[in-house]
Amino acid sequence: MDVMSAPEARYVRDDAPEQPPRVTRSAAGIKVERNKQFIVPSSHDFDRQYAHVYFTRYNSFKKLIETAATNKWPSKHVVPKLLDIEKEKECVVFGVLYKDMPLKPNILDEYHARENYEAPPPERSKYNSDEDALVLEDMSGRIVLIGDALDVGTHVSGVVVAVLGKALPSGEFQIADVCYPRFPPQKRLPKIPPSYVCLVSGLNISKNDKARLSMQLLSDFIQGNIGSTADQELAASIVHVIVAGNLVWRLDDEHQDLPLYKKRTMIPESVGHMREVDLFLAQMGINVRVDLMPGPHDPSDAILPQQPMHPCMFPLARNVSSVKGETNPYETTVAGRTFLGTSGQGVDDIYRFSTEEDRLRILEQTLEWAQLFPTAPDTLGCFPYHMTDFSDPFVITSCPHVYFAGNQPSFATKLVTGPEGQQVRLVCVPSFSDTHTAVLLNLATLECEPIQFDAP
Amino acid sequence: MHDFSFAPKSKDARKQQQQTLDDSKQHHQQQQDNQQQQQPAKGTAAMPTVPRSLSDGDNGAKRRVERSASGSKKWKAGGKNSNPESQDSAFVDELGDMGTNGERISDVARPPAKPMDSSKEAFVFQQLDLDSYLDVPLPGMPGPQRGNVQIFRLFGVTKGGNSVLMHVHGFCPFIYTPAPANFTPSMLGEFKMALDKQIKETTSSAKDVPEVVMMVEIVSKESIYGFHATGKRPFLKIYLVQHKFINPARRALEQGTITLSKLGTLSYEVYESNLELNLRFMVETQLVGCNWVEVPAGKYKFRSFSSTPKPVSLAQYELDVAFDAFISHPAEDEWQQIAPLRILSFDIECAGRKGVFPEPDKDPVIQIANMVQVEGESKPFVRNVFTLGTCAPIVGSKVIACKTEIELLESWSAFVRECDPDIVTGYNITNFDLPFLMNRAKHLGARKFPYLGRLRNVQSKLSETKFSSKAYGTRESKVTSMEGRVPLDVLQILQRDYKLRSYTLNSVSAHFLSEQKEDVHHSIITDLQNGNDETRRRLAVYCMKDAYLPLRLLSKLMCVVNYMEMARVTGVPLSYLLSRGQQIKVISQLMRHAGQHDLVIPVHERQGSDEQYEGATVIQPKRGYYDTPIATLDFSSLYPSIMMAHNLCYTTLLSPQERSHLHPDDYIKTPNGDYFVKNKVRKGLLPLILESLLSARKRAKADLKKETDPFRKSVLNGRQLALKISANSVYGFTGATVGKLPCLAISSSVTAFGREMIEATKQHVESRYNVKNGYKHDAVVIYGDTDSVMVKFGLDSLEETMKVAQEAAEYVTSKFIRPINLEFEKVYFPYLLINKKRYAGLFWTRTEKWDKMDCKGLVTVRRDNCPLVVTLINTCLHKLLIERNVEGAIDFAKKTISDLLCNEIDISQLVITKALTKTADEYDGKQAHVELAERMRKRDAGSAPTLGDRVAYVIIRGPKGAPAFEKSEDPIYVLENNIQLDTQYYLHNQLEKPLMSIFEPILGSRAKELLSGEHTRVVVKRASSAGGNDKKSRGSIMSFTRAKATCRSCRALLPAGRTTLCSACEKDIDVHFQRELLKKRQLEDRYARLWAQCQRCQGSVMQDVLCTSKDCPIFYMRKKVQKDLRMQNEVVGKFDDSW
Repeated sequence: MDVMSAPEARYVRDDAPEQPPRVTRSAAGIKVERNKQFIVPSSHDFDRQYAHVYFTRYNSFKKLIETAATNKWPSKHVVPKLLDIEKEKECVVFGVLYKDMPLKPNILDEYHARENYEAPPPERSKYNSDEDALVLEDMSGRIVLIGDALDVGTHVSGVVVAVLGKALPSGEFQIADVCYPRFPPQKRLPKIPPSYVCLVSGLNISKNDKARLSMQLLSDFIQGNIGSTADQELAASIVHVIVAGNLVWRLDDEHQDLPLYKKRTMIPESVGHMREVDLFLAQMGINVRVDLMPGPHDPSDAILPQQPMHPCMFPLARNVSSVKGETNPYETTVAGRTFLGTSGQGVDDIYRFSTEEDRLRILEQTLEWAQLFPTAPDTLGCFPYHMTDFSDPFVITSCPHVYFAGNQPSFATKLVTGPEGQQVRLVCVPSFSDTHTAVLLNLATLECEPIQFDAP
Repeated sequence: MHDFSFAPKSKDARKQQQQTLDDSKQHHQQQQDNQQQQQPAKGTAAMPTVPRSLSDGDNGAKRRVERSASGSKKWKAGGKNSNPESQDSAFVDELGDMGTNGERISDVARPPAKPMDSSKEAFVFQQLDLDSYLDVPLPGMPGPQRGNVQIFRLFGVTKGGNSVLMHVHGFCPFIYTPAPANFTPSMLGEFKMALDKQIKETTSSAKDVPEVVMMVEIVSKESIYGFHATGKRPFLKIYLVQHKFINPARRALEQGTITLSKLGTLSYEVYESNLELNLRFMVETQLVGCNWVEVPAGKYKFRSFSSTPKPVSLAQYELDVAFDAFISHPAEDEWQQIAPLRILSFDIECAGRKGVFPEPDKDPVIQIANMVQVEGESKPFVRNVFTLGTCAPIVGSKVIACKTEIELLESWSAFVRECDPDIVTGYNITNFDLPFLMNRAKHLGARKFPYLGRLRNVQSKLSETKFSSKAYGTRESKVTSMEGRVPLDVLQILQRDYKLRSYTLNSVSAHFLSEQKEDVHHSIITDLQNGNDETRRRLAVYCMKDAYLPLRLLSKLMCVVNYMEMARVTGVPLSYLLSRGQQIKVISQLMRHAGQHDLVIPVHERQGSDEQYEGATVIQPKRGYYDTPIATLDFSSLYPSIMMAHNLCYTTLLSPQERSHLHPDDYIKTPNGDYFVKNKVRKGLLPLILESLLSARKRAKADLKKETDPFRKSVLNGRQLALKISANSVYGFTGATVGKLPCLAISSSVTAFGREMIEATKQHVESRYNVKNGYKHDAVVIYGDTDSVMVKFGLDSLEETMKVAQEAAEYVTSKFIRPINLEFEKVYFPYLLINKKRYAGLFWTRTEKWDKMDCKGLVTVRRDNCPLVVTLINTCLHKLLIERNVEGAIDFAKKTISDLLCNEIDISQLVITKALTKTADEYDGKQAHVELAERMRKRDAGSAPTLGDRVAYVIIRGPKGAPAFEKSEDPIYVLENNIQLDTQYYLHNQLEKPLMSIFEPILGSRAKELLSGEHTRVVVKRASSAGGNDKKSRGSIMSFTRAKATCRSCRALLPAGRTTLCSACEKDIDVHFQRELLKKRQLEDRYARLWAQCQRCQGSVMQDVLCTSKDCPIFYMRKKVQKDLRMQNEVVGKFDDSW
């Protein structure tokens, strides 16, 4: 069971059955447990700095990484602090990676450009350059890492690693090998009859767009209102829909330059679009559970973890009990299968700051690194969390069965097997507005297939 | 460590710290051992696969590019060093990169000096500094053979980088006096005896000198002052054995105490008795500052410990030479090169007490960081830091941990002697670091410390000088003597050569190097020192960066090259350029030229007269906004060319008696009513000097065009700049009434000619370029100042205007005497003429693309303005001149005003900064920043600004009519307590005037509308608790919740139970929610980006950001965003959110 290569199920609306029979949900008894772990405490405090995030992360991983390193290199000397490295002696050290990148966007550059009436530094799809360099940091100091064993290009800031090597007289650390935290353990899968979870992301409702029709098709399909009998039976076995972010197209910034006295009365463009979404969700959620994650475009927090979208924007859907606002990232258990996923910010951000082109591989890397958002807070905003209020929420402490990222340019999936036989279904959920594609995941087999809704 | 000072420490953290301390002691030992074992490291170079190994060559090449690209303000993409976002981390990495050249870290000393055969090889070196001392004459040398004589010391460096001390013997100072009538050579002996006797009688220190007057001879000379038809006449040249006898000799001569048997008792007028000894020596031996000296083989003798005299210095070559036995090469061709000079840059940190400026008798020196670089190389080859107490190692740098402060001071002093720098630099070292070290060493009794110069057994001394100059104002300065080393304080250079808003190292680095520097408040420095070896390491990295930045500034601004060229052009020692004013440079040149023409300079008695003469004139500006090209015609080097054209000089100035002997064709009358002889009768000395300067400049400029090597290019550019400046300073010298040789007839005539020429230019242009003569429009001179006139030719096209202007310049030039030259240089289009010396315009020299936006006399540099004014005015000008969008400029001004009144302006834009230079009692009248400092001291003495600190303040709302100084407040305090700013103050006292000045020429009376209208009416009351500055209530959130809630939409009072909207507005709850949420999102995004940036900038992600750099644009922003975010969070949180 390597890469999922199921034939693409293409759904084209045909007018054949005038009155499609309504179906009863076959798997209605399947249990969906909600997970609350990404709620930011109301007492959170922006007076803190980001140093605490790294500190917390370092401490969360300390044991894990030490264990992993001792298992991997049983005979090597582990130096607990970078400060204690002796030159020219082989040893193992660990810490948080930081990647120095000359092209990394920088608020000071933008400020400077504005002051000098220059164009702001260009936005790029990738910010890596030949001058990127990795340093390893712990509480005691920093050391520059060199050597081929650790690829600068595909690693990013914030990842916790252990490295084997030796310090050169020049003070740099020559790496021979690298080790990531221990792959997290996984719960056993209970057997269940075939049933499906539908993953969809990136509706991106905007002014234009024919995706609306496709959305309607999706909604009709999930409700079992259209398609052949087989389609309807398939629809009937969908027990859960996860909307992984980006309901609306980009929150507008066009009002930013308005003087305040005009800003106070402007109506955000997203208001109308959210009302549309509300209607859509209220319809779709009539007889299937819909979990709603906010995405980068949505009216939720700009920093991670994004909190559930406010119910006041869903006057209709909030009255449908099966529609729920959730956090991003999000973890849920459906019939004993753990789903862990994000609306894609982590993958997107790593993509920008890494040479890796394959987003599925990036998703896999974050699992190997056991971190949902390694690049937060360096290039990805996050709450300044702290040991005392909640230990690093972005550490993957238990291995999910399904691990997904929303709002990716195209569908991709893969089953990876961990060192202790953990099996994880990785899914890049495509952006619906671009691909008109949702993903159906078979809970019994963890197989997964795209399903496209093209209006003729 | 994670949290060493602010957050309460957890037990674990403390334990770890202790652990660290113990570990590092051991570790430190190992580290030192490692240092010693270091071999020439080929490590990184040998690994071709290493992606980022920066070999020395690479790095050097990169820096070269930077050097040539100086002046561009853009970030340089690619250059690692220029990457501002991660500068500090880059700095630690950079230190690492530098360190790949392992063998040089410990090799501090100069390359070994090769033995030389003085009888076969000529000795060549570049001299940098000189002084003189008294000692017994060396046998075999010229000059007096008995008693103590004047001996000169020249310090310098050979081409191979070896240090040199050359003792020059046999030179005697001298003065002149006109020989009395009937004086014959036979009287010389008697005259000498009489003078010698008289001096000995009146001067106690001369009593035991065998011979005070060395020699008297008759020479043919002429006074420089005034034209003498008689020409040269006999003068007595009197050589004295020591410089200090010049004044007694002058007194003896002037007071009529010399009696000659045949002539009786006469009094004598004395010439050139007030010239400095060093300069006199340099002029006579044709030395100019920093030139190369060659001593032919056989003409010198090396000193050694086995010979007599023994070496007195630490120089690698020490030699004795007769004053007439060496060749002084003019700085031309091959002699333009610069020896591999060693530049030491250092910075000290003191552990001050809270709230008090460090005092050397109380506060310890805890770290001294050093960087030594060879001029012309791209990176320092010595990087080290001396620390008090242990310090964790720093990659690529040497940490020298000292147990006691005395050890710290003395080992640093030993380091200075060992690395033997030629130039010592740093930031404010002259007035802070060096005096502090000297006083501290004295206080502690570190007896081996004060030997910082190149002379053995000569103590460095600290003295104070007052330096007054018309150009630079009066400055008190301290001097720490370091014989043989030239202090070049970067702060002093910047204060002299650049007008900046702020001279802190942070803001200077931001300005010139485009990078922010972490700024750790001095109250935290003590905490870092008292922490463990990791916190001290942090401090050390900070300290080293402060030592490194001055070096980077020096090379970026090419100070060493430019100053050296200035020294060479003007002929004064390098050290004079910072310690002395403009005059000395002119005197040096005057002396050199006068000597060649047998002219002697009279002693001018300083009268301190306040005689004023009329300055340059301006043609009344026709104020307005010109949307057609305005051509600027400039007289190039106006004042020098007037002096040349009209032969204005001391030597050509005609007295009425002299004039009566001359034919009217032989002289001219200046517009000022003075008379000067014409060229054909006698060519003036000043015109000669100016000609040689300007033609040298022309040559340098021509060479500059041809030169391709960036380093030689910068030398030539420095040269042409120096030549230009010195040509222009000649005029000033003649007008300096407190100077050595003022001559107002010259300076007043120069300005009078200038005024006449500006007027004449206006006449010529306007009478030729008009409709009557067939031109399309009447040309109008809209403004004229000193050496330029602005002409509106009325043409719309740039190309045509340039053509006509070029022709007009040539036409007007033809009306004047050579070398006066009117040049067409640039067109302003559009042009905003605000007032005299205040204008702005877009500057064009080609038709394709404008060159720059030129602003003169506008608020942009004034320091008592808040940045908002600068930003607003610059943006408006940008919109007016570049975008040519008047409406856009108006809208922007209105938006800014509206945002200001609504409290939407970032507080950093409203901060006014002033240095606290005196205590409150010493200021006349009350001042906002002084009052604030006082108040802050009452609140918390520890963090309050102390003398020398810069105080940042904002103006807050106070009782009606309260003076501004009572309303100043600390921006951080304002942020923390949500205090209302006095936006009206900012509008009327800061923005109004400059806004009106640029908009009035465009809008006329309509400009007033900017200050009233819709955009000014909306004033949002922000929730505020502390209205005054001494209320204790903190935390606006509390008061916010207690206040009666109103509907966020219609402001109706809400009934109990409702928190955000009234029932009528409830239907639009999603609109209101999303509006507030958008604001919160923007704040969150800002918060994340700002704090991530600071974390990067400080070079560590696991340590709290400590930086309090008030010069950093994001310092207040990141504080404010925390506050705003908390507020906005509250607002959004009020929308009930259960699903």
